[in-house]
Amino acid sequence: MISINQLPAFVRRYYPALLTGFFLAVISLTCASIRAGETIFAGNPAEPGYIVAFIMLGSFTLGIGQFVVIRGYSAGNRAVVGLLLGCLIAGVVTYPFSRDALLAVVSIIAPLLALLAYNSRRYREMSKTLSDIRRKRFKPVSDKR
Amino acid sequence: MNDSRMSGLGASPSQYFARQRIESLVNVPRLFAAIDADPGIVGAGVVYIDADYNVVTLRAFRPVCSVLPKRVVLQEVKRYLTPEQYALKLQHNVRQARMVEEVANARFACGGAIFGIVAILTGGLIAPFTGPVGVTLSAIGATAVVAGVGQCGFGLFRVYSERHRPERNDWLDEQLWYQVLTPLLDAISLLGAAASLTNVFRSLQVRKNATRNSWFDLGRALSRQQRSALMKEVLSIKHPSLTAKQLKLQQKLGVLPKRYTPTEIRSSTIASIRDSLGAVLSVAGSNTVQSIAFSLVEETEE
Repeated sequence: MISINQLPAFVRRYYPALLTGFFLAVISLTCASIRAGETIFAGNPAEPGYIVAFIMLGSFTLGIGQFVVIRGYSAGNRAVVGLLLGCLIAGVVTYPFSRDALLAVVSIIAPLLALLAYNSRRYREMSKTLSDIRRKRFKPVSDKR
Repeated sequence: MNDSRMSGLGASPSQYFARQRIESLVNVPRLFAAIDADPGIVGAGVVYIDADYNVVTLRAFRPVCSVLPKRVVLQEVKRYLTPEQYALKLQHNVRQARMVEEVANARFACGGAIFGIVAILTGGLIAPFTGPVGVTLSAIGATAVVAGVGQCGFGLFRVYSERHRPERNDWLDEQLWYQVLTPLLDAISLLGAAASLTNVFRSLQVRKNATRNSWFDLGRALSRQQRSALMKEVLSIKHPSLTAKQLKLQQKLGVLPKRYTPTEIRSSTIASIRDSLGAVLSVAGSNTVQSIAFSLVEETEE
């Protein structure tokens, strides 16, 4: 558990970076899934189904990755960053085939902004703090790990 | 005119006059014969809606060749609309209403996902569940975050599709797997909401037991002795392997804290409120329980 005295300051300092990055990641994931589905499965009657499958796969990666980071395991950041890089590549590759200009632009800008948020000093600090808290939680009081 | 349709409970004079007008304008036996001549719609009920939206049932459905009720609906169109314009207007109005519905659902789903992750991160200052129960609640919380992200993604996708290609949403709504998946995500989100509420309730219960306050007094500031008692209660839950004497020794050595400060209690209340707001959004955004909204939100000093 985080030190009780530090919680309000922790919230004020780190929540904006966390929530900004998280929500931008959701938008990136959705846009990339739509772009990939419309390009790869164009003309396929089951195209919406494939888009839904991409969204579910991305949701699983983002949700588990973010949850693991919150619990103090920094390795979860790799999953989130990997997902965002995949979204960016999908946005760039499908850009020439896009019919909707706004979606094409958002599918490139959103992952870039999300990566910026996750690479920020605040977010890195938060990740390290949560990791330290997890280690301290098992610090010997009863000598259990 | 002594007609029950003109007076009494449920009377509708406009309906009565509409029926009179329709029956005088329309050759009703011939209409029924024409409908019954088509084997695809034989026996179908006939409903007539006039320009003032008076609904008149000319004939009830008869299960002649089909047990599934069929109705032929005849609706009067306003004079200033051609049939093509009317067809477009119907399509447009229906899709507009659906667009509003999709945007509302997406807003609830995305708000719920964000509050879900906030609730898990904040987690309350007090963690009353340890061991297998705590692990189970953590697993539920993680799954609820995944479900919330999925619902948010679906909501945004549906809003985009409704704007550009509405037939995609229609296709999705017809798929059996999608009809199963959406309530499943709703159920998981509700489960996460229930887990958050359980944490909130358990936190309040621990405070109540430690401070001997009533439920109404929980929001008041605690005295020094009450804060010390609360800390003892919390530590005994967090470290069940330590006896009371061992806990006291650890507190004297400074390894464990002695009492909460007033600021800490306030943050705990705020954390509980955040948990409750997350639960409200999860429930309100669900496709199966849209009209239910419940909350444990209390006023704080902020």
